[in-house]
Amino acid sequence: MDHAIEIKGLTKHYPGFDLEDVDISVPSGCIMGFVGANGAGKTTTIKSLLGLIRPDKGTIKIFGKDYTSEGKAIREDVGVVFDESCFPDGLNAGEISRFMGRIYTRWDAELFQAYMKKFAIPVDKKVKEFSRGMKMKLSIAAALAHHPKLLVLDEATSGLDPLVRDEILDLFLDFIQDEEHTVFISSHITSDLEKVADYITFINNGRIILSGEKDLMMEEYGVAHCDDRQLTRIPKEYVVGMRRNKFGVDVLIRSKEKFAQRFPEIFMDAASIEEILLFEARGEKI
Amino acid sequence: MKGLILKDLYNLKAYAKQYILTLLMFAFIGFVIGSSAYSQGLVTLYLCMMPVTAFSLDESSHWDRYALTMPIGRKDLVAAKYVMVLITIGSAFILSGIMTVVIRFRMGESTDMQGWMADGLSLAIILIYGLLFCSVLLPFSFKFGAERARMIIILIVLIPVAAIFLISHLVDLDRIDLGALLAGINPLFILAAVVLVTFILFGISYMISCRIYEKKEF
Repeated sequence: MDHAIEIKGLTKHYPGFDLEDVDISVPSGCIMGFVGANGAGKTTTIKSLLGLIRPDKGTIKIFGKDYTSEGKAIREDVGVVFDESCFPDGLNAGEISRFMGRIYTRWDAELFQAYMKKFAIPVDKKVKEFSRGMKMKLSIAAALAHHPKLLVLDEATSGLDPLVRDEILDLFLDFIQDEEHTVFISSHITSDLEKVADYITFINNGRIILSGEKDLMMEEYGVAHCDDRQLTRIPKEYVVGMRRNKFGVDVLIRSKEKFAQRFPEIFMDAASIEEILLFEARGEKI
Repeated sequence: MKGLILKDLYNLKAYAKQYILTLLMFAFIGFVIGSSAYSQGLVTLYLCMMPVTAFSLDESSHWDRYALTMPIGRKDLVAAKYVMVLITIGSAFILSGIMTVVIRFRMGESTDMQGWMADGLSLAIILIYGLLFCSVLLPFSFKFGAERARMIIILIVLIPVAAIFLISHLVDLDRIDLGALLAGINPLFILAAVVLVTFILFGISYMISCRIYEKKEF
């Protein structure tokens, strides 16, 4: 399988925070969700991926090419959206389209116009008068208007209302229709990723704790609701983490099918991405 | 690169009215007092602040980290700022030149050769001052950001003043006969040499900024 992104052994030390030995492979043609709490290392990973910071160790390849030596050419094929619009406040969409057309060789002014129309963004209004939703839509339109093969989004949907988020997620699903297109999206809004992602990577405290196909994960993990007596009977290898509440104990179970056969009397739900993250990152271990 | 400069120009367009009004005011002052030297200085100083304004606008929108995800090299970003400086100082030079000619004709001194020479000299000083000012300022702006660089501007202005003040106190300038020192050297040659050195310093400043920016993390 071809990989749009291959990160190996990425390490970056900051005072008070370490990104340690991060491996992420994003297969071409899919959406990879990158999940973690605030400060878990998502942005540091993405900044390293984009060459904005220099890793202490590790290799980063985009489309199989080394990003540091062939960056300029690769960036024609990459669209990036940060958690805020980075266009200067005094510009309007028309001006943005004009100067971006001189930066990207494949800038498609008509496509950009079409997005502006679709999002109801006036071309002559200054960015500083935009709402947060409009700014994010503008950034996403700008990222799509140069016909990229890879979209990298860092918390692009956070702080937006559910309607706008849904609209934006639909755009990503459209984008991914082309088999060559790939999306790498970081978010702490796990429901968004649940909706669109094919793969999920979890990061916590600067380390990757879990990475894989979302559907397989959903089949693998379940949340068992039991009491203390039942808990003592559950073998260690099934338990990822547990959380106590006033009714008993919730346990994140791996190999949930086998578990269900062995303990049919214990009630179990499907695990959501949020639960997997919570139990992995904050749950008690046995 | 063209795209980056276009972006800066659009960015500064928001201030166009303010710039034009202020420049007209400076021109008017010169016109009224019948001397261009004062206005030349003000226009240059004022326009030299433009690249700093462009810097701080970029910073407040976190433009740089975004621009670096585009097919733009770090050197291109630095170069675009230096080209902006050349554009602003070039415009200061041309505007001052026009103002000087207008004022001289208004005063009925269009045949005063000595006066023209003096004007030419002060125009050259504008060019030299503007370039030196930005050569010092830009590396600091790339290193520390526009806001802290603004503080450095004050130092850039104060240090030469303080230096001249100190020297004039320590050395009895009257005893040095500049005329004798420079006798036999064509003044135009000296001027050309100073301009050349200034442009070389500007180039060195660009290289230093590139070094600084190459290592910067966002």
